[in-house]
Amino acid sequence: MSAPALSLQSASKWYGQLLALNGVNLELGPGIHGLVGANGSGKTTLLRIASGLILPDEGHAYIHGISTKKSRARSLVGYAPETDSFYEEYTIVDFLTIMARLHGFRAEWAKRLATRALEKVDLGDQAKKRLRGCSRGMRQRVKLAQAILHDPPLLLLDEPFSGVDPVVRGDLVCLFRKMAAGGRTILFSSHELDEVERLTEDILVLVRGRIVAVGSAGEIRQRLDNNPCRVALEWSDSNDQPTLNDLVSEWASWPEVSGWDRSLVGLGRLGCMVRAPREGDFLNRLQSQVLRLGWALDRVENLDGSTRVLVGRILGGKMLGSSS
Amino acid sequence: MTEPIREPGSPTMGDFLEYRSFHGTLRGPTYAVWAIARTGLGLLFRRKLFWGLYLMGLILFFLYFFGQYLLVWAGSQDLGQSIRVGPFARIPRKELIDNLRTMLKMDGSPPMFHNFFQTQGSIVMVLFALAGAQLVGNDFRFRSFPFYFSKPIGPLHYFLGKGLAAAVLLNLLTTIPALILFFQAWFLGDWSWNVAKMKLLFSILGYGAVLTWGLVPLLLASASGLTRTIPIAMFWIFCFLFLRGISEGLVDRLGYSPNWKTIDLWNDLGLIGSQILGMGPEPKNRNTNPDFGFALGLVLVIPILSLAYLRLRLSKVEVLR
Repeated sequence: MSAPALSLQSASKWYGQLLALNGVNLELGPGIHGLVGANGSGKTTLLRIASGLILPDEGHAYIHGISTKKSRARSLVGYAPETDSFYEEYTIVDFLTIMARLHGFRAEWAKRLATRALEKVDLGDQAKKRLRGCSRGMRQRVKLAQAILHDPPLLLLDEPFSGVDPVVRGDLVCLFRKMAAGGRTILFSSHELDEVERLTEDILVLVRGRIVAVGSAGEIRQRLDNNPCRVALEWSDSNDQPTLNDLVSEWASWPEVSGWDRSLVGLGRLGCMVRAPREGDFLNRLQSQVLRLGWALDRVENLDGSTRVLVGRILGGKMLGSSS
Repeated sequence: MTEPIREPGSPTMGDFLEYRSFHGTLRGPTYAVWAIARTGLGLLFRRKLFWGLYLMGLILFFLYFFGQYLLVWAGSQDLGQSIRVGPFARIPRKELIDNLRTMLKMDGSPPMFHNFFQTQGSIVMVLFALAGAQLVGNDFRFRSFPFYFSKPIGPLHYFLGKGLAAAVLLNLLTTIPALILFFQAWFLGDWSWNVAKMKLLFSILGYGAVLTWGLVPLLLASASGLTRTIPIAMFWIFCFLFLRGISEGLVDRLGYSPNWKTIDLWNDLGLIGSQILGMGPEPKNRNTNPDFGFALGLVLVIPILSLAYLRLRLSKVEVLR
């Protein structure tokens, strides 16, 4: 069995008295993985350790089985940092050529790879533009281009969608999916939580230097001990459908329901919002009720099911900021 | 040294992003040193200010270059006549030209090269102040290191690259012009090649090496600490003008020990250079120059201290810890 693309074993990192990463164990295989967490939760530190940019004070980091202590491990990584401090006097293509040469490519290949990487991030026609004149979104794409130009099997991206307009964002999402489909491993951090959920089923939640949850948004939700949610229900108001009073009288005895709010949906339609302590238990019971009553529900939606709400809950209501 | 692009056991990449057909070997990180140096030099060469200063720095070179040529040309004319000097004296033309060549030291001799190296000092200071911020200071200031060190290179390669760029810059102002002057003197002379000329050639290279050793680590260290152009320029002015003034005041005016002149690093480098060129101290400085051992010690110690400081600075860089 081949080694995982990225493996962290009890990786810890201190900055003075601050414990930035606390005994993180992690193994990632091919695919896209999202990393979310609040300010100072250790996202950037984790990515830097994973890229070999810094070494953990305790524990180990391996890229495809090679310790990040060895410089050759960094040949297998493409890292796009959060900062975009380039050499402003250089053109985009010159900057990328330099980056390729640092990887060991000869001049001719370096230039070729730089040009092709720029095409992939849709900057092919801006290759001769000076970095000084690039917008925030273009700089993000330049960072991405320098990360992918040497064809890395592991791509580590720190806030890749920050400052990118929706059109380019869509292009980048397509690119990431294409790379992942080709067997690459992508780990990216983001505060755009909806984007994380759109892009990946594998989310890592980092709180104070520890990974507290891993999996899809649904899996994480299931693992939470206390996961109250609001479920919106809608159905048509007709004779063969139950009335809200019928339902409420039955729900009153259900432990799966902690409350409800009547809501006016519109002409000829009924609706309500149910508060459930555990989404899964409630939906199971609701399913049996629907079958028993022959109830034709038009809408069942977990109003608290987005990744943003989920991560906010894991973080104890702490607001997600702009940087870690 | 080269290494395979893929480690054994790593996943097969196929045609990643549909553009990759590289099947060769990557060059080792040592080759990145030159890429880093080229990048640094490219940053400098793209600035008009650099070229302005560099042309200023070449004024002295042109003075020597055309001076040598003119004197040789004048010497090749009819030398039978004498030239009238003042109301009564007449000096043979040949003697006059020989005297001029000796006085102006435009004769391809070791003193000429010593003078050339020494007088290039001020423009080297100015250019180094500019270069320090561009080469190293901005990387510390704007935290560009993740772009470098996420590649398979280490801090040693980074600083070797930056040092190489600084060394190229320094030698573009000193050793390279001096070598051109050497070969010009040879071509204008008797075209003979002997041990003395060979020794002079290596002495010029040696002088350049001493300047490189003495100044480049100091530049890297000062630029890593001060990062901006103005503070770096002030530091260099302090080291090479202010300390020179103090040392001259202490020794020449107040009569302190000549060893106080050791604090003038450029003078120390000049002393070592004069030894390399096979010259003794000039008569006017014979009693006011420090012991050679003191000068040599300082030129050895300062770069070592600079490198130690550089190591300390690196330990403060987050991505290198």
